[in-house]
Amino acid sequence: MLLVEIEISDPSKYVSDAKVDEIALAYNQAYRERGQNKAGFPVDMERFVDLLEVSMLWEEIEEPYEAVFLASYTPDNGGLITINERHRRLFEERPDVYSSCLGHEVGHRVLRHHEHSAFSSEPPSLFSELAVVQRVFHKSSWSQYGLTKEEVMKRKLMEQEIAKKAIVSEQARQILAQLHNRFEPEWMFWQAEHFSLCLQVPKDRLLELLEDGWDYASWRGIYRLGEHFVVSGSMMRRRLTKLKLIKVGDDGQPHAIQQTSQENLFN
Amino acid sequence: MTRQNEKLSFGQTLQKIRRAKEKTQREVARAIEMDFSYFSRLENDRFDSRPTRETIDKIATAMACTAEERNELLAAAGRIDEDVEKAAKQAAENPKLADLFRSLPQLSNEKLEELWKQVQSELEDKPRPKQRRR
Repeated sequence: MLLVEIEISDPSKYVSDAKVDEIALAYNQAYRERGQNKAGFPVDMERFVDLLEVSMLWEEIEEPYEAVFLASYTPDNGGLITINERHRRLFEERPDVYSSCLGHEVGHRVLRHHEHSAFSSEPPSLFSELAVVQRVFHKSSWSQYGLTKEEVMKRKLMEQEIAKKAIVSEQARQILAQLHNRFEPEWMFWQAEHFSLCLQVPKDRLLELLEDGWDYASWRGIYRLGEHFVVSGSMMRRRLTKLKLIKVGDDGQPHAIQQTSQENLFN
Repeated sequence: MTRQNEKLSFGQTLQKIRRAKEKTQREVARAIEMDFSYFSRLENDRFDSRPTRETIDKIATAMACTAEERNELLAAAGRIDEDVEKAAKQAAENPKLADLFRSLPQLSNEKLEELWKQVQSELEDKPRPKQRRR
């Protein structure tokens, strides 16, 4: 079991990115101390899941119309991550996506999202008369795992379209209720996502490299950093952006952010 | 009853031993040439049928299990040790042995220990087939 000495506050959308980063770092350091990987990266996510004593299961997960579920986390029996067998090929071809997906589900577990009231009681719903599908929360791949902004937009439009039809169509109501029931709220999604990224790119290791003069103000340097941490270039960009180390200018190029508070990061 | 005393399913037993050995599902599955997703379902008790003795033996070997751990896996799968199974077959043909088998579970652990020592000394002079202390 991984033991960490860090307070994890009750699940809330107000838990800051910095706090999530701090929690992920504590877990990464505990992982290193277990002798699995002294550097702390790349994290062998399957081993990490074992160290958390969470079970893992490959199984087909039913997907509602036009929705994609990569994996789910349920807290029953000490925790279970179910990976959707339907996307096995994607996971085999893209181990980085697989790692991030497991990291995301681990994030739900560590941040105790299942304890949030969103999962213990039903929110007010126009369609409350409908039978409630067992609430599990899933990794929805429509955000950044290989799907374009257009595809994300398409899903959102689809949902709006269904909402309009729901007024008159029982089937549409059911689809919408299913979508709402089975996707985690956005803030949970992004917190789990941020946790996954912070776990895979531990802050202390990243800052050590930057302090040593690693180039992070060019796409080439950022993609090389990504390769170093075994994450995609776009994930590396997100990590640096969240840490307020870079911003992408109007010229489409990354620029290092010069600010006094940044100096504190290296102290 | 404490959680420790609860009877674990085959999957739970397998998972407990595998984690203690610090091996991942994928590593064990690869070692026994089993698909890792199938292995994960085995570990989560997703099958109606019990794993075969052969499968359990392969898994136990891949995880470098002790005789005790192997027997734990067999017992959790509702299967008994091969030697015990052989002895049970012999008991079916030998009423005395069958009576002995039936009475043994009624004895206390101390009595069983005593009896075991007695049997051991009886067998000391005789070459005997592979025996496992349970």
